[in-house]
Amino acid sequence: MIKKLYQMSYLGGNGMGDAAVSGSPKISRRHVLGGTAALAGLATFGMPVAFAQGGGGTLRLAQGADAQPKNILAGRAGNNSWRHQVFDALTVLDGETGEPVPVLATDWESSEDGLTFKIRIREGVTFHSGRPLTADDVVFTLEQVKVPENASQMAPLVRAYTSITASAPNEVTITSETPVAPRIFDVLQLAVILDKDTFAGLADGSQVVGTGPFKWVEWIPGASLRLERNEAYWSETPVALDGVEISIITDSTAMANAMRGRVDLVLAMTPRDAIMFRGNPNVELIEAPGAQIFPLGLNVTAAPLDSKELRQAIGFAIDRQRIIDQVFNGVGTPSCLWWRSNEPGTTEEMVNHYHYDPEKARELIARAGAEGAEINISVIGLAPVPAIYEIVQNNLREVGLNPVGTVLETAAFDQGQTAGDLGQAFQQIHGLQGFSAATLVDALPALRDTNPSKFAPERYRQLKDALQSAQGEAYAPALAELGEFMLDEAFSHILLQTPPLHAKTPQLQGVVWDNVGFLHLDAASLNG
Amino acid sequence: MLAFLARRLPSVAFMLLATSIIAFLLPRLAGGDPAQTIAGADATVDQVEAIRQQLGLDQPLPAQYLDWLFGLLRGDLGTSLITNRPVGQLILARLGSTLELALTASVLMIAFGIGLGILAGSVRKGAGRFGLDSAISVLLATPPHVTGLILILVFGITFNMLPISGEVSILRDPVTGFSLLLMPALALALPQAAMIARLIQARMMQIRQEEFVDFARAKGVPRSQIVLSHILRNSMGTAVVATGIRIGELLAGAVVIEAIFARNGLGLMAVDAVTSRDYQVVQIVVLGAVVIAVLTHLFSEILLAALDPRIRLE
Repeated sequence: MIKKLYQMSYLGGNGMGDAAVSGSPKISRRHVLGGTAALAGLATFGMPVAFAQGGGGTLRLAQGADAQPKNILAGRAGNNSWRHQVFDALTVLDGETGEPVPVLATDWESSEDGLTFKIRIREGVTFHSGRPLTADDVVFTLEQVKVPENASQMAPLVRAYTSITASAPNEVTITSETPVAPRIFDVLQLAVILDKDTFAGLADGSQVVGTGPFKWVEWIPGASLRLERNEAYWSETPVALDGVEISIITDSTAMANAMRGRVDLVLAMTPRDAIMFRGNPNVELIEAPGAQIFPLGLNVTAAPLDSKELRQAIGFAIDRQRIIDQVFNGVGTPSCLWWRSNEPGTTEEMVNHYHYDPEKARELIARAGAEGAEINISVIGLAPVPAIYEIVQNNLREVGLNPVGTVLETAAFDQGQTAGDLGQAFQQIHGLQGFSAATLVDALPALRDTNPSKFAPERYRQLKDALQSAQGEAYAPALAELGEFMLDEAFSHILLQTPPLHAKTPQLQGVVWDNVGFLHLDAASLNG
Repeated sequence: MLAFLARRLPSVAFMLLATSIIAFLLPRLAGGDPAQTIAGADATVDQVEAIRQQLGLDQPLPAQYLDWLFGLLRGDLGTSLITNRPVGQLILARLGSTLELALTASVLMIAFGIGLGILAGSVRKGAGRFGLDSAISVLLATPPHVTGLILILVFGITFNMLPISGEVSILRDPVTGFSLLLMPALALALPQAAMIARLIQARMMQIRQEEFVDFARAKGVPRSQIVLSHILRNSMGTAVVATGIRIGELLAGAVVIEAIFARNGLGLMAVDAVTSRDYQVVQIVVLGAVVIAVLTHLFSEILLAALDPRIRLE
């Protein structure tokens, strides 16, 4: 198993990995404050170690996607590496448990009915411009999440709030007609706190000002991004790295080759390229959170897919393990779910609900009277989806169906996805893994109300509402009920989940990825 | 020559105007739009629509075109829809990289092309001829990206002699810059050099049969002088025209080579702009490519006239 070679680096229990090697342990403000959530924080971010300020060298990093400062409030692959270096969020989601960890928030409280939510904000924090952070900045940021031009996936959640106000100089109060928590923590994870005075500069990256451990220095679009340490960072734990240099390398193999001496960390390498480094003592391969899922959507209004038996048959016809082995070189999980398996209410049966069973598939197809039926599949032309389609096509032929695939260019496919119009069947690619299921059911194009499967029965909305209103122990059964309903209706088959595969040198220590796969470098150093 | 250029001006202007219309329409015909790219794959209809309005893409096409064209006439190349940076600034940031690559590759192409061509045109029999013909054929048949990968495998990975990824300006650090430039420039130059060499070889062999060469030989002109002054000079015209065309192809090949060697040049910028439907950047890149092609062609004609007394600029 290739997996055994990987160093799991979302580091359950000790986010510092073997970086925790020297100096007297010193707990930063980030980790001390926030009650029980801070304990969760320690679990992931680990016992911080006091590095001397600076002297940690400059981290050289390569990634395939360009930075998009304009879209900082949206989930974007090109922003994952620097989002939490330049900015801080109020809370982040723990990479292991998915629980919120306080960052700029010190603590929070929810009213008994869940309709009012108060967040207290850390004092003594300043933006890179020197201006102190206030509750007004938090209100401003959350208001920006609503703005359609900012394209945040969290916009529907924030638009549902009835008010967002600065109730005190360091306190923000949110009210809503539906319970604010726990989904608020998804919003807070993505909505890093912006400086309202320099917000306009995000549009062209001329002014990117946050409160994070690094300052934005220079961005050459499509080529590179340079950050330098924020000497006035609020955390008591000193930041070790002097700076970060990010190279944008769009060719995946060229990006992987940068690991041969050009950079210390390569983000989101393809499993095919990662093979080059198997057994190389100078390169550590890491599976991080923030997986991608690959849905096969079925339009429930287009015959013959209006038959539930046929849709279920397709789920049993696909050999997910073969896709993982042949397309992803063994990196991935044959999960049928649209969310991470650490969500409360998720069961093993749900994860493996559709397993490879061609006999059962043939039986269901016969029952649906769909032998030899033609299934037109639109495939997004983004690697590796066309390669997955090859196996899907083969599997469907084996059970007596007649798949006809059309590969669409990404831009054209996305347009159809936004419009909810992708034809009879379609193979998508989705991220956002690590956010709660309650958020994903309205954020993922495959699942939202205007999904291209045209699946929108009243019961689906009711179950979503029940999940989104559920608090505490009510969440798990609500998710189980919704999940089982979705699996049974078989309008969107998840073929597999694949974690992002990163590579780093052994010298680089202390890198941490949170639950949605955003990188945190405040405790990183190159002294390992 | 000025009269020649003045006569060419109207047709060049017409061609550029036609190109501007094509450059404007082409990316818009490809499906998808920049608003979708900015909004992301997960975007909702209202988010895409809001961004489309913000970018002015909801305006009628003729209004968008005229706005761009008048901007061009004022010297304003427009603003990237994706990064919000002036297109001129984006091009300038990448120009140095592409110029370094294109100039080095052009020098290598001309040196290898002419050198190999003269050798192949001069050696007329035996193992030398076979070896040269084979080398030229192999180089001709191998596209730049394959040459690039072979160079990476041999000199970058197996022998670890040259760095395989990245770039440093030659002006900032000549040694490192050149070591990073050598393999991509070679990969780009060799197939084009082989083409030039084959042309020179064929032309030299053809001219060798001409009567004036026999006449010079009969007059007792030394062999080296016959080759240099009579055969080679008369063979170079073809090579000059071919070199002009090859430089255009060399720039096209730079797109792939920049990707393989992780260089951030204009080629890669153009590909990214097409992928993200950054209309403003695509338009300038297409228009710029045509301007370069026109200028290269004009320069080739002038040079050809200078080399061949039978040709006059008319």
